[in-house]
Formats: sequence, structure tokens, C-alpha cells
Amino acid sequence: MKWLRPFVLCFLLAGCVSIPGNLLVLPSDYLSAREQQMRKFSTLDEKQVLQAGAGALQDLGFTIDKSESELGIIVSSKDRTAVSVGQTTLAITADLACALMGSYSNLYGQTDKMQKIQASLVVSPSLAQNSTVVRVKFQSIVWNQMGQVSRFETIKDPKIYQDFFERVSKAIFLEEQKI
Amino acid sequence: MRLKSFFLVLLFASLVFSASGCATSQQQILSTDQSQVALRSIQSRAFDTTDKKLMMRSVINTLQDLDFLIQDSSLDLGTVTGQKFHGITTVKMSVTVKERNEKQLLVRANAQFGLKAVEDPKTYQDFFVALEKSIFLTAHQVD
Repeated sequence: MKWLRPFVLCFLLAGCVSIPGNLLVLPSDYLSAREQQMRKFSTLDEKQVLQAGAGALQDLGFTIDKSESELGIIVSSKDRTAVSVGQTTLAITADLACALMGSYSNLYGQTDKMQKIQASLVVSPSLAQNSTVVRVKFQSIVWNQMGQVSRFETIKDPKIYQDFFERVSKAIFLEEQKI
Repeated sequence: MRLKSFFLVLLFASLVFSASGCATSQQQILSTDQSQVALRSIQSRAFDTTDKKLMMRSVINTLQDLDFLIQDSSLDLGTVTGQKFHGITTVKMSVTVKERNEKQLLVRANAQFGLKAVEDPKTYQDFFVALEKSIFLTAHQVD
């Protein structure tokens, strides 16, 4: 009966997942993340900045899910394909090779199928000067062909943030000029 | 004989497993692992300010610093909801801000990790430490 012991151990250990201890610890790089996600605009008109932000999100193809003007929040998202030709070809080739050798594999099912990109934008007054601060954050969720979530990620590419803020400042400029 | 004992053990193991598992779906609706009072004290803090809007903005900032994506908020009700990911597990958190008395605001936070409620005091302590830092930053104009 000794061989049963590992199984019993497995049952005991297989309980619910434990919660990591550092779940709500401030990450060490939070100040640099702030720098990346925040921009200051020299206007006190929060509403105008919020509208410019909504416009910039729409420019990038996001649809607005929720908005609250009192706290200056816009939550938006877009659903897009995540299929990559290279990944799919590789998976199908591997699956075919396995089939030819008489075994079964479903690598194709694990390839990326679709993604949801979420963006939340917060506008708040800056206490430092007569200006308004915009903070934006992008996250994406990727599902595979079998409909399972394959990965989550917070988008950290500085180019995306720069591009976004350029659009916001352009929109503020355009609105100032009333074009 | 060996086969028989194998099945007996298997039956026993499955019985133990089903009995020791999590509560059934209906029991989960009103279940908490901690007493209500203990949970409330773990999840709440009072702050010596009456500026609800500023406090809510600090909460939003803190959640964003902690890598949460803001999902919803309401100034009237004083609620903020955020979501983040830990590996492929979803972490959801909501924070409420309300008046405690004439001089103080009460901030209460609660979080869930995947399918589990977070009821560990240290985790909430970490959150309030981060919130204190954010208020400090706001007060000292670093943004």
C-alpha cells in the first residue's frame, strides 16, 4: 500500500489555490510607471481634457464602456483578433507531423484567437500648478482557440503611451481652436 | 484481493475529498471565513479628513499604482472598483469611502483572488500603507 501515499498527499495538497502574500504591496517601480502613464496638461478645464481623452480613445478604436465626469474616469475596451500567422502555421505543421507519426496533438487549439484590450483613463487636477493630470493604463486579455484565457498583460510599451498622449494634446489643441 | 483494497481506498479517498472540499455553491452566497466584525476591522481604516473627492482620487491613484485597471466608480456612493491579473488569475478589488463622523472618513476595501476572498490582514495592511503613501504624495504635490 506504500504506493498509495503519493496519491493521498496529492489529494491533501490539491485544495484551493493559496493567495500570494504580496498581492497589494506597492511595486518598487511604481514611480516610473506613474511617469509613463501620466501627463500634465496646462489647463484647468477637466471636462475638456476628459473629452479630449475620450476622443483619443475613439481614435484608437476603443469603445467607451463607462464614464464618470465627477471623478474624471473613462473605462473603454476593444475586441480584436490575436491570430498570428506564424504561430498558427507552426502549430498546424506540428499537429500534422504528429498525425503522420500516428499520435495526436492539439497545438492549434492553444494558439491565440482573440484579445480584449481595456483602457482606463483618469483625469484629475494637479495640485502643483494650474494644470490637469491625465493617467491612462492599457491591459490586454488573450484567449486561445479553445476559448481559454491564455494570458493577461499590462501594456508597458512606452511608444503606445507616447502616441496616446500626443493624440490627447492634439485633441485639446483642436478643441481650443474650435476646428 | 489487491484490486478490492485498491477500490476501497479509492472510495475512501473520494469521500474524504468531497467532504473536505469547499462549501457548496449555495452555502457560498453568505459565507465568510472570518467573523463579520473581525473582517470589517481588517478591511477598514479611518482617515482624518473630510474631503471625500480627494480621498477617492487618492484611492484611484493607489489602485493604479498597484497595477489595477479601474473598472467603475461613483462619487455619490463613494465606490471604486478595479481589476488586475496575477499570472492568469484575476484579482478584483472594490473600495468604499464614506463619512465616519464630522472629522473622519472611513475607507473600506475588499478583494478577491480568483475564486477566493482575500481575508488576510497583512494584504489589507499593505493596501492602506500604499494609500497613505498616495495621500502623502498628493499632499506634497508629487505627480
